[in-house]
Amino acid sequence: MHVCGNCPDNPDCQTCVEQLGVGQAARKVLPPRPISIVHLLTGTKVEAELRVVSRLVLGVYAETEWKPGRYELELAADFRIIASTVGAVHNASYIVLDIEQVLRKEDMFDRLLLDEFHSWQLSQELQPECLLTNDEQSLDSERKEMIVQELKRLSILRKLREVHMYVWEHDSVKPLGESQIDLVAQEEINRLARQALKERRGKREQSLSAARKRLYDLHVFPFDDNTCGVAVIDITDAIAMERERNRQQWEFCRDVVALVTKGKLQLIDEQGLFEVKRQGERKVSCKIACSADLGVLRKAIREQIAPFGISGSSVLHFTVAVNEAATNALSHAGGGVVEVNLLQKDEYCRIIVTDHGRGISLADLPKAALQPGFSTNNTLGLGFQVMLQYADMIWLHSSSKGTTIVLDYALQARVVQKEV
Amino acid sequence: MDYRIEEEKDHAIIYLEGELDMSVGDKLGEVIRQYGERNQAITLDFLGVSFVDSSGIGSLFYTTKDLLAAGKQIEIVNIQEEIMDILRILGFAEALGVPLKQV
Repeated sequence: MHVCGNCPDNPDCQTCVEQLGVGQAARKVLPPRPISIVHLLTGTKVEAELRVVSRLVLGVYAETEWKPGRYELELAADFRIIASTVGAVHNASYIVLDIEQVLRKEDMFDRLLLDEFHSWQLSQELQPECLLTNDEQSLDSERKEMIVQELKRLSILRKLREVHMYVWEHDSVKPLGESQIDLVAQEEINRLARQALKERRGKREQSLSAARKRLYDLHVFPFDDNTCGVAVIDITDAIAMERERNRQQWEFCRDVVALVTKGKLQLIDEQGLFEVKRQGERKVSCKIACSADLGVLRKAIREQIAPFGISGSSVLHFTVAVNEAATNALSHAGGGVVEVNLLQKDEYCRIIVTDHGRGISLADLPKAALQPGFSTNNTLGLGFQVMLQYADMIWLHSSSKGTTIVLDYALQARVVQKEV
Repeated sequence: MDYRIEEEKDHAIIYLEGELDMSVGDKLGEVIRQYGERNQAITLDFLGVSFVDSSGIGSLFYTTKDLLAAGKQIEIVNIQEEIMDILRILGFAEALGVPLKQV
């Protein structure tokens, strides 16, 4: 096939477009895009120009001896096309290739998505190097508009003091603009950049600066020229604000739950839990790993509190309360430990049920305490209703590391007959 | 948990025995469904039940609801007082709408 003398300077010339034989469906690439193209059989790599695109065929130009067969076109690291020659190839510098597969980011298509190609091409032309080599005249209004947009975005980014940007090249990190922070995370950036280039995709990690007690969000994006773009975002303040918000939400939740349960159910933090746990004398500890362990637990509790001379029904009811807490641990965390303690010279029995599940979410807590019974289809609430009824006091500590429920039961106040 | 069943003239009496906790699982519900489907009336006798909790009567609750919706007659009888107290707190009686009879 021929390439006419007009190309690539005459944008209106359609000679190379017509040779694709797909009519209006083909689009001229202006200016022609430099690409790498590999003959898959021989592995020969040629620097070529992509001149015409359509959904199913491409027009490619190179001063080379074209061989028939399949080719891989590399437009960018994440944009490749497998295509094959159509019919015989005669001493021509311009050839037409049939698209077999388009590999774009993580997706695979059997045709080229023209809109996506167009926006990709525009974005590629906004690469700093391309912009500098392009003379002013060739920038049409669409491209100018994009440049203006990009510059505005940059000026906004520059105003954000938490965001710092760098270019990584061969294990060195050069700041874009003035260097704002000491790069404690240099080693991590090196590691991430090497990974990003190898996997050809962006990497993200959080990094703690030990010296300054700051927390950074590191983003590393591979570029086509074996360098990487690095964004370091200081998230220390954002995290602190988030913690404060969570704290307020937790306190609100604690107050609501206490109000609704008339102070009987108290949410406590880690320190509060420590205070509650350190009192008393450990009598027995039961591991709950399967439902059969629940029967063993109930027997152990009966044995601990029945000798004080408490009525059988009261003993049963407190046992049900403890059993509900242990059942929660089993069904939501796969198991837990129940400790039985006696306090203040046997005035109180204190039961501590601990699991290492994912915890009860703050949003679910008031619901658990507020909604009674089967009618609401609230299985968590069911257990709490029983505990609230039969225990004298309940403390609840829940975090992403697990849940602890502490149940207090007054012994001496319930004694109906002293042992003889 | 153990159980014993008497069937007579389209009426099944299921005598429950022991502790109804999580280890009962779906077993209780399956027994009730099986006898509920081939009889018009079901009586659950709770005289031998010494313990109930929310997960133990869960399957009993949902199966009973299904059978009631299918037009069956169900009653729960001979409930010990302290067991009745637990069922009351669980909201079992109101939610189910069947007669619960104490011993």
